[in-house]
Amino acid sequence: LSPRVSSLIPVLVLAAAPAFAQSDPATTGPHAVTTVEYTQGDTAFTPAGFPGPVEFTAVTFYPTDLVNGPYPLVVYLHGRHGTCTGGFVWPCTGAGSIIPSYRGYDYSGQQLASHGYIVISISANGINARDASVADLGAVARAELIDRHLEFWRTLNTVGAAPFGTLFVGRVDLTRVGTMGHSRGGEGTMRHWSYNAAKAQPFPLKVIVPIGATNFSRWQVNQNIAVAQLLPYCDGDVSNLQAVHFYDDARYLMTNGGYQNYVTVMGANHNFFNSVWTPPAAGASDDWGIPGDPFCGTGVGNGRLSPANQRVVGLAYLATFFRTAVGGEPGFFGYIDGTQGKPPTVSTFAVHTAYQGHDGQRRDLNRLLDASNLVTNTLGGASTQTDLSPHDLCGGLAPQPQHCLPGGTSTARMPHTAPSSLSALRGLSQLRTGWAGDSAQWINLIPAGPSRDVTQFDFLQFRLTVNFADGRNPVGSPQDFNVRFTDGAGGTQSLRVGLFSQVLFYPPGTMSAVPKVLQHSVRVPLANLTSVNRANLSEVALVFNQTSSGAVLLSDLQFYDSPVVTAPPGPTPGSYFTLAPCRVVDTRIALPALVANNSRAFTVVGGTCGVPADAFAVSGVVVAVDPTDTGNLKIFALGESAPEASAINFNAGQTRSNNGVFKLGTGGQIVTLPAMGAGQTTHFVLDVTGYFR
Amino acid sequence: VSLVHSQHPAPSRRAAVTAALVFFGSLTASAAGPLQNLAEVKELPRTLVAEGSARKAETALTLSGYRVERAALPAPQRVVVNGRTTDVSEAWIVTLRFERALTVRDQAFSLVIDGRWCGFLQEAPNLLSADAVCFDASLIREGAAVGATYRSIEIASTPEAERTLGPHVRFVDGDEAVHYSSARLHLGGAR
Repeated sequence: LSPRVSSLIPVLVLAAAPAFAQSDPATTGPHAVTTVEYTQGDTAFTPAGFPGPVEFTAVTFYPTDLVNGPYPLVVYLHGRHGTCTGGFVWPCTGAGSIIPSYRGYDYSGQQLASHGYIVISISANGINARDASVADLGAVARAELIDRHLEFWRTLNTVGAAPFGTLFVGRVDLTRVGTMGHSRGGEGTMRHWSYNAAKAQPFPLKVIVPIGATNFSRWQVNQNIAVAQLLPYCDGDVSNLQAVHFYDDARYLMTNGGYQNYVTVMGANHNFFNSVWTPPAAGASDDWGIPGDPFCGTGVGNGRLSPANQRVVGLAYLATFFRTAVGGEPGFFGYIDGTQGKPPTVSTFAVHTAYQGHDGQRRDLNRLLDASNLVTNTLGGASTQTDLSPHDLCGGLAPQPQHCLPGGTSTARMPHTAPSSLSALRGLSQLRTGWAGDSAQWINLIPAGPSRDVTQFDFLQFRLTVNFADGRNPVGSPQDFNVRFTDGAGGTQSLRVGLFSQVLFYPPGTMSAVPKVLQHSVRVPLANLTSVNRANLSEVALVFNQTSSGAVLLSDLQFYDSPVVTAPPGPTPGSYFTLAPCRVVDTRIALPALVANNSRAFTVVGGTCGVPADAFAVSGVVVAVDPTDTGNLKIFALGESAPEASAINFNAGQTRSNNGVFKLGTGGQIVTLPAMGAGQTTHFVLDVTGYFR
Repeated sequence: VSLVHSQHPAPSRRAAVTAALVFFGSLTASAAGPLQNLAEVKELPRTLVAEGSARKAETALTLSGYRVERAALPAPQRVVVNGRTTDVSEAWIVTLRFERALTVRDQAFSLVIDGRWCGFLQEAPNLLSADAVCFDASLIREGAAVGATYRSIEIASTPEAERTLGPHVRFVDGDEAVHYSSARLHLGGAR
């Protein structure tokens, strides 16, 4: 064994950074970090049944102060990419130099190590060069490669080995291990779970983190382990996001531990989570190959993340996943299940979360698994609907239709039913429903008995996506509807979903693999129920009366008990002060109308309405006056990104108003952004009725 | 064997396709020792069956030619063909040539003949060709359309016990960013 460097020369890459913010997983930690590569050569061993030898090479990041260990171990495995600068072979003899894909996650490895983790990132070029010659496209070989490295670290931790000698003896906490795999590496980590479980001395895996992973064989990882994924919405390689099957297939198999989770990163592509797969590195490219798409393309106003920003997201979530599940650090779980939003460094980027806890965290109201659930829900109560059409199940086992969108729709746009190259399993059974008018509703009754007591749960939760293929959804407009809760005494209360969720958005993009019907978790907080008895809840109804028409796909209706360990310190709550209604903006008076797709800032504080300079939000009535086109208007704080949800939707020539609470930005200003046809206009009025400070 | 061809596009993307053939785990031999992987099949002596070049490279993949060779297996090998486990004694190595170097991708790269999946393509070192092993004799026929795709293929009607690799495939239409290319096999009665 020899290190890639000629001798073991620790490289100090990070100075101590004691400014540790518990609520931000992406900060640099207090440990100095040493980076060292190790290798046994490029032809160190041949995985079972594999057509050629592969390398045993990795880079490790570890806290320089090993004496304060032992530290948990995290393993990274890259996906399929070029192997050598002069050819797709292995080893690279005569074919240029090695493309070091395993160094593409240095940004994350260093950060995690600074918080007290030992991170190794494994090279798998030898597998990449030949994996089309084995039946499973290399999944088992990758699992064996991971295991070899883990066993090497077991040796390092017990008796030591070259090139580290006894440096790590007693310094590695092998009771806390996690894995991350990118793309085919992701399928390798999932396959490794069962490979490891079959060992006489398995490693206690705490979490598996696939990123943009393949799922050719539909590996099912379900024995109470956490699986947390990143899904790049603008993936141009594994464009059907087939890894979502990992979640869908295992979501009802976690009996007493673990969870299924994915975070969809809007604007992210397949490659840029790995810096070595990012131009101008050799062999690197932007895998999203359609520049003309308005969201995933490269034109003005696109929704893409820069490579640097994509890795900001990657770093934040890798830190969240591993520091929570492997390190047991409190404070970040709310970023996994989404109940606390996003890590601070990701706050300006669009990400959406789906989370399913184990059996002890849920009470399933309607799993929507087969046609019987359209009549009787999972709790045994009646499931009925009014004025919804269609109202059927799709995507699951026959006789359900295999896909939920019309024939001819690219399966890359339907991840939950995307076919698998090595499996005939069907996809996610989901409710396909839609409405026109304001009388449509879907009602689930809760039978009398202990099921009616939902006081232990924090949320009503379900997964949902707007069905872009149904013309009843206005293109580009988000959806909204109410959830009506009824108790055994007849008390009722409705909560508008749009107040609590940002996943009702219209999926962006128009070309190739986008838009997608990809479901994310919607949560309605039960703490907001003040007029019904949560100890005797008898009925939950989704009431589609907030928009004139629409269509959604939906699954997993349940009550959810969030296991947030320790909430990070939040801001001090503000107080609300009422005002006599007062007009602070009226563009009809000496101001030009708002122009489509052009943002404009308005100052809200000061002036005659009495909003003080230290107010951070106002309540009020927003009015779109005489719009020349159908569209919507977004309102957000100056200095922040536009939200996905609009403040008001309108039709051409129709003056409409809506209530809202609007955060104030720099200088006490808000920004308006109308979405209409090019060149179209609308006037804008804002009356304030109160403020927060 | 000769041939000129440039017919395209090939099979309808909507066409429901019936059969394909796949490797079943590692190859298992009925009589002699098992071959461990497809690379071992490619190392066997081969006989040229068909070869051709397109007058013009086709589609985004710039498919420009193909070569089909037959290899006699040293012993019958157990594979899954058309959803059924069966023993075969010969295999076909299909090599596709491309005008522009391929990009190494994570999505599976499939050989397709007349719309049927027939093996995963392994890129050559120079990325200007890729080859796959196909065991389905019924697909190696006069006039068949051969192509390559990164599409996710659909597999249906596979016995659950054999679902590790799959049999029936069909393409679903759509404007995916993935690529489909085709050329027309013309075996000229060579077999």
